[in-house]
Amino acid sequence: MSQETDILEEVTSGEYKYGWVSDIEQEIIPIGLNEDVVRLISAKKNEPEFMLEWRLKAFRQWEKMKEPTWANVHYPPVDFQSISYYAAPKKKKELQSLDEVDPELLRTFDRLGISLDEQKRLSGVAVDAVIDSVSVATTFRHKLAELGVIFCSMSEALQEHPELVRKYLGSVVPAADNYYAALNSAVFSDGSFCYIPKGVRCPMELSTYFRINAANTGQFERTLIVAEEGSYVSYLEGCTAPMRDENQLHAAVVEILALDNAEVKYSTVQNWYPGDKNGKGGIYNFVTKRGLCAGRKSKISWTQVETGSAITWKYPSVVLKGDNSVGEFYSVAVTNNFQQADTGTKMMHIGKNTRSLIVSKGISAGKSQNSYRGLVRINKTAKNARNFSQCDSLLLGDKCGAHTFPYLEISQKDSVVEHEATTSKIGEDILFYCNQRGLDTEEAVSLIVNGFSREVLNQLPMEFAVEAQKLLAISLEGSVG
Amino acid sequence: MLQIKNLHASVDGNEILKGVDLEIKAGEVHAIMGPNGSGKSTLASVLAGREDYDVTEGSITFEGQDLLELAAEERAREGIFLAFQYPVEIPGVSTVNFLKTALNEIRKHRGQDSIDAIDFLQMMRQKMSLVEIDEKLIKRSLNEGFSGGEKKRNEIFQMAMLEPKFAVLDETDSGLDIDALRIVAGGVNKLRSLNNSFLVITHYQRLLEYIVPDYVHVLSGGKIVKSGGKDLALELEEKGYDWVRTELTADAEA
Amino acid sequence: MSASAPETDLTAKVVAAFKQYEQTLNGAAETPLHAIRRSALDQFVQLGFPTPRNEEWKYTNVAPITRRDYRLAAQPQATDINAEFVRSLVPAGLDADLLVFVDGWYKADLSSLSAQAGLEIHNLGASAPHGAQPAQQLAADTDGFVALNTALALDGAIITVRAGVELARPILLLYISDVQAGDAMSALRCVVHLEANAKAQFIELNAARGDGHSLQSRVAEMRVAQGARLDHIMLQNQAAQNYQHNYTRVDQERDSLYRNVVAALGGGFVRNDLSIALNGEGAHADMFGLSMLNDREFVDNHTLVDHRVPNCTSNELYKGIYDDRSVGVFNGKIIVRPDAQKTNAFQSNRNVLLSDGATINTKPQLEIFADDVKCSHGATSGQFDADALFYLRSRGLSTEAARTILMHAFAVEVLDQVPVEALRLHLEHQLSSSTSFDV
Repeated sequence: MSQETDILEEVTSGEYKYGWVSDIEQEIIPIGLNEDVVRLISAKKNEPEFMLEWRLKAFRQWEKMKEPTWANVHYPPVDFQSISYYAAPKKKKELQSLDEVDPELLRTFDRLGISLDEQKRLSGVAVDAVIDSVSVATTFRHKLAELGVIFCSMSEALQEHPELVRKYLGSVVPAADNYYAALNSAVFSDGSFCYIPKGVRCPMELSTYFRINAANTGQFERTLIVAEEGSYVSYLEGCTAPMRDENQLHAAVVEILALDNAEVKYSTVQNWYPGDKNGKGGIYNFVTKRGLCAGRKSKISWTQVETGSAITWKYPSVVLKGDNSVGEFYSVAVTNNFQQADTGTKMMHIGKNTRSLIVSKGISAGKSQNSYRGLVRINKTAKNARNFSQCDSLLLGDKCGAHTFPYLEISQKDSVVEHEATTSKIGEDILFYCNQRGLDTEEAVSLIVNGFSREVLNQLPMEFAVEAQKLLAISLEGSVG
Repeated sequence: MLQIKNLHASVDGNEILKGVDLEIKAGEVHAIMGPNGSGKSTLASVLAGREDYDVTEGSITFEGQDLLELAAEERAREGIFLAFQYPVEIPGVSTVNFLKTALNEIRKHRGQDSIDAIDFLQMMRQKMSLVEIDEKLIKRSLNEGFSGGEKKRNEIFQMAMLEPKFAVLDETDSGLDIDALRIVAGGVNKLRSLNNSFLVITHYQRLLEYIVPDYVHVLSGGKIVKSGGKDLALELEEKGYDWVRTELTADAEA
Repeated sequence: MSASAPETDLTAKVVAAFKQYEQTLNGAAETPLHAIRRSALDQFVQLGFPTPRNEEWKYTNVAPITRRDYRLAAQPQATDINAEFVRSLVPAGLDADLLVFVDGWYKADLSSLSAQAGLEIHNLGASAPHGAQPAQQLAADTDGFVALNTALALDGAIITVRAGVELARPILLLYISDVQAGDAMSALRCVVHLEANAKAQFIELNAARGDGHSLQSRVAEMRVAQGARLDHIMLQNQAAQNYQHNYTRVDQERDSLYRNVVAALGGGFVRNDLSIALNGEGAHADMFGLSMLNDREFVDNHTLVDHRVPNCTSNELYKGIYDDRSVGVFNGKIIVRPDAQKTNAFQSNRNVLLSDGATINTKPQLEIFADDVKCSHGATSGQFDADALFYLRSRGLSTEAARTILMHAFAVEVLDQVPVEALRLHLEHQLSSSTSFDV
């Protein structure tokens, strides 16, 4: 009950509530992008030589590539030379404990509802906080280390476990995989690194919280998760950004590798600043996320709740290489006002008896455009592969758009692929029914949208599910009635 | 005609039949009763040759032949018929053409010539009246949009057309109202002869009032736990399946 | 589109044929129709043949079919194709008015018209009448094939069915390529207008004489006025060396009905573009397709239904059975414009692969800009229902026979939509002979 009340309060109150700017001393390099900038980033991070080479190679390839235009989104071309590619909270010296962290920074995360103080944390979630691409704190590290789980920032991983990074970085998303991934590979400033050793079930949710703070910066974080044989991990990702009039670029890469019998569950609540009611400002969210089920019976599951960003271009994918491996994609994408989302997944079936499930729920309101774009490919080798996709769109209002672009490429006779999609609006009769029982229209819509998204929200860990529900309601505020 | 010895069968590694023994002679009607999940339909499927079921032990002999060696269609041609509990709907396949093809396959197997169209139509008319099935139904796609009762009648109609030596009726009574039940049972009774035999699988005694069996068996936990004459069905109806279980436990304890 | 693409040769040949044609004009070069053709040629030269980089051609590579050394005639050629050959192509029992084109040119002596009242037929080559120009609204700007057709289709049919007239006999358009003496390419254009409350049935059949390679380009523009009904059936059962590209643009007015059934039972390369605009309330469009392919055959069905006004409905069902190394493509797009409330649009694409070498690429798409709509699409690929297969076998049918009977049943759902009895029987016969099963 109290949960419902919370939602209602949120519905009737505010705008984007994470839109403030923290006054933290920042180190920002001048805008512009060239090889020297790439070298500077690498040098600032005191990276091993191989990392610089990798970055430069990616940068040279990026220079030859063209920005993709096939997505159903429209925006003025991004001027990649007007962005600063490195912004970090200034560290005065090496931090020994959380006590030494800039108090303003801690307050920042408190305001986000993310406490970095281990004592105050609800048990069971370890957090890596990334602000403007630089990891500022990782909690519960030592406890995890006892199990052999490595969970730290990418910068630290490069210092402490360079051999692991070297082995796995780019093994799922190659440096020049696509335009934005190549850009990320060249300039990524930080991110999270997570390694689960053989046979370990990670006892707590691992969580990364991303925040863009500085103006005129881009955020390019890179996450790498490696799950060794028979291991399990559930990983959460959250993100927010200040309200700024200009658009900001976020081009992240997430790579997941699952070996035999390993399982990785990756959940995202994406709440970047979506721009204001008139479409001004907001984040351009161009993200490459891919998992490789390399081992037999491995499983990778993506769950995403996408409510933020002015533009979203994102297709968390699974390459099902190991026999009997499983890929899942659960998504709720809400767009309102002038938001544009082109999101979906790719399921690439290579191994025998591989299975994939796609559940996508798109909700469009205001003058937004919401597209599902998904690829299911069944290779000749994928005997007995099975896919089921369900893509439903809900339209709230007659000024928005809901689009579905599935691609099915099947070359295996002993495979079964089913795709279904529907588009509908909330029926007048249902609204009337709710009104008659005393709910106002906004409440009713919130209720119905939550019901429409239930199948996906159920996949989220408890804490996240509550946050996601609230977000859905906030995002749709003012879209009906 | 049919001998089942120590039959064990499983689905996806779960053993359902755990040693069934049964002998059916020509001209006999046997009934198998039992609670839900006792393995009745599994037995029917194994007899018809469904590949999802693995026979792990035991044998089935039909007129001296090892039935388990034969594919489903070969069993059908040898004269085994299964009236399905849930007959499938096959849109686009007309009942008439389907039956004619099936009949000719069976005739070919027996070394007979294909039936000519006029004889076939005549035969159809005659068998249709047997189960009081409407010609309109026969003209539609196989089972498509049929009611539960219509599907069951169509099964019996097909049985009449294909003239099997041994027919398994898998819960043919389920979903039938009393009139339909009478018609279906009447059809079966008209087909009974000294040369063919039936295995009637049912959950209720009701059907056995119309198709009077020579023997009644109780299947429970994958085994035949009790056999008797037609009165056993009445006793079961009266006392419930728990009675068999209690009696068995008592036997075991004694 | 880079200029160095391998099809440059055919592009040059097209330009040469056009120049040759222009020389025959003697002053007629100043007509508006010619101006359209000339600008279409420029457009074609600029666009070239489409490449898989074009999203609408993602799965369809035309490079192999444009590499051949086709004969391309800018004027009617003599042919020894006779009435007997033509008769052999006409489906048995079909009583229709017949229009025969050889290599894109109308052959009056091979055609037979019964002078139905209210039916007016002109051939584009001899008498381009009042206003019967190739229309300008076609997607020429994105598709080189359409531009090519506009430039080079010097003949074709202009057909009008007068208001309220219901044609007693269907019209059969027979497109023959004469490739006895070598490879040939041809282009022709059809302009069809059904006036208010008219009813007609159009059948198109592609064929070839000889063993050479043929490439046929056909663009049709069809206007279905208020209350009119047009049934349009396309029969495509050609050999591996026969290629065709068909672009059909349909404009429907209030309460009109258009039904397209395409039976693609064979061909080395078939691309069918069907673009329907629902411009008047109460209009309904039906689209049905059956592709049954083997060897290395290739069929691509592209549909676009544009719901522009409220209260229209559309329904499409495309089915495919693919054996050997054949490839099927389905791309169906439903657009519902912002004002097109109360739209109902359904789309279904069902496929069966019979061989591991076969491929189906399918892209069902919805683009919805109005909220009070009911739209859905579904696409599947799989095998025949295992329960159905077992049921048939338990009645004594061999696995092979059971499969065949299910294949036939799968196909019949589409063939049943053919509104001309003789054609339906013809197709069922073709189906049975290709599946070697008599039902």
